[in-house]
Amino acid sequence: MSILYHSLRRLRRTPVQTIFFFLLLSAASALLAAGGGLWKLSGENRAYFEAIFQTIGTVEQKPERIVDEEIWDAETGMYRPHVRREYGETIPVSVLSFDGADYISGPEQRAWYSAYVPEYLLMDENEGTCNIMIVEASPLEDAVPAGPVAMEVRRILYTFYPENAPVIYYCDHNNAHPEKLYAGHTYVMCLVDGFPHGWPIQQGPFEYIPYDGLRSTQAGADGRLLDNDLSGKYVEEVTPGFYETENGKAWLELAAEYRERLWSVPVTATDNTDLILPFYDQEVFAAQGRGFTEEDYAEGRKVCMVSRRFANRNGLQVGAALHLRLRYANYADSASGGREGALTASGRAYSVWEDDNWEICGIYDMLPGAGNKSRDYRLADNEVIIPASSVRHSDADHIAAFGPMKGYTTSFEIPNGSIDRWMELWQAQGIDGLEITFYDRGYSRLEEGLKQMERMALLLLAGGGMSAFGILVFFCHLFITKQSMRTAIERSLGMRKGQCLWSLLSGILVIALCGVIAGSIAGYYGTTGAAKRLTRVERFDRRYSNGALYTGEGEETTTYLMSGDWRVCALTGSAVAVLAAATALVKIRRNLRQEPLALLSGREV
Amino acid sequence: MERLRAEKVSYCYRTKYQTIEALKEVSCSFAAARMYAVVGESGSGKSTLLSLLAGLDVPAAGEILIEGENLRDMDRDRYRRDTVSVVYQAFHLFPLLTAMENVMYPMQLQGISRKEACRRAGMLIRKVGLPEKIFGQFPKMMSGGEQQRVAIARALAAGGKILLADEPTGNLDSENERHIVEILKQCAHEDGLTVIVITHNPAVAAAADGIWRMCDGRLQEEESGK
Repeated sequence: MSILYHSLRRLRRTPVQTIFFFLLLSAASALLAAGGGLWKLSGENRAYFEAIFQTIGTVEQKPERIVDEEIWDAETGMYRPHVRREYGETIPVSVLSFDGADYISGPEQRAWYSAYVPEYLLMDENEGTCNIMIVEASPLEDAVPAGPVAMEVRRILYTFYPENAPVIYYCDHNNAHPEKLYAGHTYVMCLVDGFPHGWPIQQGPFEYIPYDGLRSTQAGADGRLLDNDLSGKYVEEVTPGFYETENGKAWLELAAEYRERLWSVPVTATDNTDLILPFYDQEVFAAQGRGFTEEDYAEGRKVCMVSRRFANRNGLQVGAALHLRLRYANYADSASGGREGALTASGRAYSVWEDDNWEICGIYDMLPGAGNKSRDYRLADNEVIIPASSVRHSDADHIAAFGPMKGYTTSFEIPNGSIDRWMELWQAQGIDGLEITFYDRGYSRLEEGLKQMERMALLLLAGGGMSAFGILVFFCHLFITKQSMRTAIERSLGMRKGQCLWSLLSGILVIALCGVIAGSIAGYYGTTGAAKRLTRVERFDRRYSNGALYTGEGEETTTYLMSGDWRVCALTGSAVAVLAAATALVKIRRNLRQEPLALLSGREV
Repeated sequence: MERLRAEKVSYCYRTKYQTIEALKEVSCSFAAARMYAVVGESGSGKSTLLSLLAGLDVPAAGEILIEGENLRDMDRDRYRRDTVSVVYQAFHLFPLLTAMENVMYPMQLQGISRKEACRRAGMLIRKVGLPEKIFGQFPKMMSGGEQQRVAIARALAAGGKILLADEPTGNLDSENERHIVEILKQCAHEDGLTVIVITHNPAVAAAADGIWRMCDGRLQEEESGK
């Protein structure tokens, strides 16, 4: 006798109940499968986005006050307005290292180092630059340099263009009350060309104005400016024995410093290139070779990345050694906008404090338009990038400038999606003077979709689980508990307990399995639909993400992962099937525990 | 030849508030090829005795012997399937099976093919005086008398050596009652079954070869009318 056949036949004869059982269990299974699918999808999407997205924060100290000033303009004969920011006490980067700040990288206040590299070409042949020169010159006649004053060059201490004319025109352009210069007297001055006045020499030669003087911005290891006795003057009269004096020696050191600077490149040291905005924004990318690896940072490997132009100009390939002589560090400015004083606090040129070879591991290039950012946020010409840990010696005695944290010098990386938590903890520190700006490439918007997906997944799982349990309890009561008389009759006819069990269970299980399979299939297809409804479609270009090489191939866009997983549906379906079998077995065992006589009489015996 | 014997059988029911001693050291003996009637007041323990003889439970004390073998030592499932058949006062038909399927059920349990079971079931339903139109009807579509006769046909279908019937004619008119009594007698006298009938009906009791009277859980043999 086919017990399954009889069992199914009985269910067939209560079609309304059986169909409801099938449909409701299908619906519950579909909810569970969709919930499980969405849960897995949200997890997969999270992992997927984690691999693509990064969240970095930049830190900028807010000025304590803005001071309106005026600067004299000799050309117009008027003062022009100028705004100066006063920062007060410099807030150290260490304030960002508070309890609970879960940094992936940083926070770092990056230095860039000036590296002396005389063996490399830093400009193309046809490239020009403004001409800084340090000269001794005498005015042709007594004059106040409130406008261009013709001066005969007596001696060149430093110049970029050696073919300078014997006569230059000097103007103390930004000084409303310049000191008078006397014919026959010689003056040493550090000048830069530019600012042609609208007076007789429109066609050139250029007017020269003061550029630098005897000043030092050297700071100690604590970032405080070191005291110095430098005159701060940018024009000084050369008298006999002048260069024997400390002041005179400082002028010679200034010239020496500028000669070294002419053959120097900025070297930025970092713990993570993604903390540098042009890299983070993927405007700068490794065109050849690779970026830095975790091992490079951890082991302090002497590797570096150089610009494609620098590499091409000097015939450098990936794997070649780059000889760098690090001379001073600047923690205040960007590498493209250094305003550090040229001399040490003792009035000397900076000396080399780390001299070594760095292996070129990657050659970076820039996207067209990458130079549109403000100068401070761009990479400088010939800028070399190295892991901070690759610098073996301390720069403490060679800090040419130290200043408040700026968006382009100070940054950190935190886990995606933790901006709110970080800000909460940061605000609890009660430090007002810093402005934090976060960049997450749109992760926050994507994460909202993920959270919605997770919430819906939990809702579906809970709803599906509870409804499946309720449905099974109810229908097992209907099909089993209320069928105790059937069990009694079957047993009185000699059916064994096992057969009775199978007689009740098999039909229910078959219907339950059909419902579970149908529901799980519906859930599988429902997952994708639900995911699409729950997530706004976000597209982003990941061509240059995370060190991927730019191949020039077409745009690759990506968005949320949307497909359901049949394994999840199989798992949730199996869970419902097991729950169905377990619920049915519990109910059946209650019937089978009693003797047929008790079941038939309805009395305990 | 003695087929069935009860020796000092006791049994009790427990309710929430009390324990009822339904049988008190009941001893009786039933021979093959004979029909017995068990009579007595309602609640005297007749149906309980019948259920114990049917192997639906085991006595609290005492023994039930089938052809000398103790029921306690037997496979009671097999005993109920192959040896004993019961016609219940409340019929106890499967409500979701047709008359034909109800009668086929015990045969299919015994492994008889569906086709053969179907043939025999038809014969048995006709034998208890029901028309063919009843074959496909569900119990709820039948009258009480029809259900009673389907229940008898199912009991006969099992083909056991012992047939127990609890008020088998309780729902029948006198003509059908006579017909059923004839069938039961025929089972005993022609087919060699031991037929034990619980009844309040004096006519049915009178047709039996032996009468046992149940009174307050005790049993005593009465002299047969025959």
